[in-house]
Amino acid sequence: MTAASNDFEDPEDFEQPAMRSRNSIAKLPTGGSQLLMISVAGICVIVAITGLCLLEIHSKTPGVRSQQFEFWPPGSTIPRSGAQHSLVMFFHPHCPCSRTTLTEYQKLLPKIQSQVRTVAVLVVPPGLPSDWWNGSLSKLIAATPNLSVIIDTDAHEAELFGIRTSGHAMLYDLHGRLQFSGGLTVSRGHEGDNAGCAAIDRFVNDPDYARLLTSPLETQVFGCPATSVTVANCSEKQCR
Amino acid sequence: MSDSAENVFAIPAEMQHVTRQRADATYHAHAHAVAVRVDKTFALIMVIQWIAAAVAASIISPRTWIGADSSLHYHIPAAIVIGGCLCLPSLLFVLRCPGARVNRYLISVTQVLFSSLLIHLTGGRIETHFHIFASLAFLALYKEWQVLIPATMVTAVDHLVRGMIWPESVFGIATPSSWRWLEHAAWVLIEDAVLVSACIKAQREMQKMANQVAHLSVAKSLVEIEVQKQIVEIKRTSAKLRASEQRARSIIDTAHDAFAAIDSNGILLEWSQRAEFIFGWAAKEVIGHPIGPLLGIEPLVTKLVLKSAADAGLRQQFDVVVRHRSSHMISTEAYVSCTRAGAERSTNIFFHDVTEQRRMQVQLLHAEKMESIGQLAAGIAHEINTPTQFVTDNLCFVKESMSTLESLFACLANESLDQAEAIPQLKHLAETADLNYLREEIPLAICQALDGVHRIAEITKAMKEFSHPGTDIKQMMDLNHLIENSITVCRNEWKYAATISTHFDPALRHVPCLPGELSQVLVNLIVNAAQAIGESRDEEIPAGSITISTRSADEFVYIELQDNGPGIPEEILGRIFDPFFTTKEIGKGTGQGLAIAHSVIVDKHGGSISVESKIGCGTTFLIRLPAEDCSVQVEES
Repeated sequence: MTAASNDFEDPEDFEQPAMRSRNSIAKLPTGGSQLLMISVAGICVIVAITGLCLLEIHSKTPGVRSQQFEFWPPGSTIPRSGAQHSLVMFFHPHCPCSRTTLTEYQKLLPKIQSQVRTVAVLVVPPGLPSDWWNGSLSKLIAATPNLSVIIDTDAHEAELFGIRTSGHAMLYDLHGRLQFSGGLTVSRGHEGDNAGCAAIDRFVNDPDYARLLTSPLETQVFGCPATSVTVANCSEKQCR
Repeated sequence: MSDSAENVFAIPAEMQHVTRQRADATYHAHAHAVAVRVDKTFALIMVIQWIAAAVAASIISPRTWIGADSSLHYHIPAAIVIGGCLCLPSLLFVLRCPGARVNRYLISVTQVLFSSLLIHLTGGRIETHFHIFASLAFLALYKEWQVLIPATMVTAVDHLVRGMIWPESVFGIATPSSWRWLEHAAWVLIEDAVLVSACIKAQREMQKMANQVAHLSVAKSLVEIEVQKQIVEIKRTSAKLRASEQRARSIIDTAHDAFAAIDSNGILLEWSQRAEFIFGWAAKEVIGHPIGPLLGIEPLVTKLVLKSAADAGLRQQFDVVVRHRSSHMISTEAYVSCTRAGAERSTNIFFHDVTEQRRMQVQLLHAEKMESIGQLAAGIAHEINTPTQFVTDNLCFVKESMSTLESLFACLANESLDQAEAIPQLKHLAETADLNYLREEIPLAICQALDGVHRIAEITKAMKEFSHPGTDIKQMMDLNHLIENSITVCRNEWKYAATISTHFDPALRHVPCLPGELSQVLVNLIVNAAQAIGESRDEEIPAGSITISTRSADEFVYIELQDNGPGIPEEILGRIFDPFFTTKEIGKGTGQGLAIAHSVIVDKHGGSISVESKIGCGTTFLIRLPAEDCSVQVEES
């Protein structure tokens, strides 16, 4: 018998390939290298979680809002229908967060379109060219059905309605009384069920609820500041 | 692979633990391979997700606005930094130690966190939420249900924390209904349940597969060991065979006899060095050629040799005269045997060169004959002397009678005498010469003299025939005549000890024989019989007798020589044909007589010689000779 064949004579030798196979399974490096890797991974994960938390906090930080009037502003040039409720939504033409407002409106639209006339107001801050409003958001708005678009040059209408943040929606009843004021998103630029859409839906489709309502419903508005004026009136943290 | 594999390759009980260990190792190795593969897949996915997050942020939220002022949207650096922090640990661990257990848990956590990032960057689109479900499904590729736990836990903590802090971010409204969280959890748990079940099933399949692979592996190892043993045994046997073959080759090449092997068609397969020396042909010149034409062997002989070897299977002997390359003839004794290897059959022939032996045998035979003649010479001289003696005496008698009759003849020739004077004178002379006696004896003496002369002539003729050196060519001979000659030649050896009676078959067939050598055999047998009788002769025992008879039967002619001598003891009966074996005193016998007789009868005539003896009763030799000529004599060894 040769030496090679003797390697297999002892049954214990069969265990060697098995042990080699088990030992071949990768394990973490030992010592300093292992500590370094774990440290790096831990730091990265902590940074990522922290960043996600900051993102969440920021997205939950509402925009500033000023006092709203109880009735439709008298000086407004925006036409109001006497036969339907009027929903007026103000948009910064380039605000990326406000796309979500449009998305939520499109979800809401089938429920209210027969009773609500909606107007989208593209706020153009003072001193900007007349075509400044033309952007991706304005194209989305133009493509949305049952939505009238008004260009608010020099932010005149925004001032009348007391609008400071893009995505702010205001619902007036047949009599021009303000019934709802706030955002249609759950957070900044975040889709999903939200209190704003739910309030509009309930007001429009639940007459009993509408009759019992004594004051306008309000929700927080999440979006970019619609005018530069806001900068002077709010903190940096609130605006960004 | 099927369960039947384990039944086909039964593993001994003492190897079962080895099988289990191998199965365990195989399972872990396979699981490790899967982990490495999925690790690398996730590493790639992480990089893609990182890039996708950055691209999505750049497209969806390139800039943030404050009225007319814009700046880079915070989503872009967030995508790069958070995406990088989620991606790099996984990459680091996968690249440094692919397949390590910690990798899959780290990936499980970071993958779900990536889901959160992407959901955030894409504005919480419901489609992006599918990323969580896809991630869980991808994590299930590890085939380890425990990997799903961290991902589920992170999702749960995320929902729990955000639900507690910002309930509307999770459930859409600040005061969600009591069933909403259950719905969210149910979807994840349902998928977890399906994936855990799939993972457990996959693990069982892997374990089953590992068991079968280990079983086959151990069986393969056992088979390999057995094969190794067989190979070693085969190598050992091959080495032995090679050594044996080399020894056989060496023996064959160094043997005194030439060796040749032929196939069933007489084609030469082997040719030894000794054959090269004896026959003058090199092996490379004769291999593949028919042996018959090469060595001048008659086709009939070749056929007979092949047939006999094939039929008998045992070693057989043939006397074959073959031709040397230089055309001179060589007398050989061919010892033939047959070898079968499967369907192949070869005939092995050892040629023993007996040319010199034959020559010596001829010389020995002649010498033996001369010795016999020398030994017989005195007797023959006596045989000749006796008739010569009485021929001489008779002739002297006739001569003296003639001198006596001379006066009678002179008286008859004297013309001067008258009748009256002559008659008395003639009567007187007749009485003086005893004419009547002479008239009776002289013719008788002359007849006896003639008989003596004839006898001398007969002896001389027999001697002449006996002493003839003979030839190698057989002649058709009358055995009766040959026996008579032999009796005559050695008459003086037997006549004082015994009488010889012959019972010849008058219709005995002539047989092909070498007369000189056969006569020698007969003389040897007669003289031996006479000497045996003579040595034991006693006054009280009557004279010995030797009876020689001939007869024909079948294809043979038989000569039977019987004596009433003392017989041969049984213990030496089997040795009497051995060369140099003799019971005679030193100087009286060479021990070659019966050996030569055996050689002549068996080897040269293809006959047989046998002996029967009984102490006190006598001995009988029976010679059987073939009536038909056969140039090759066969004797089964």
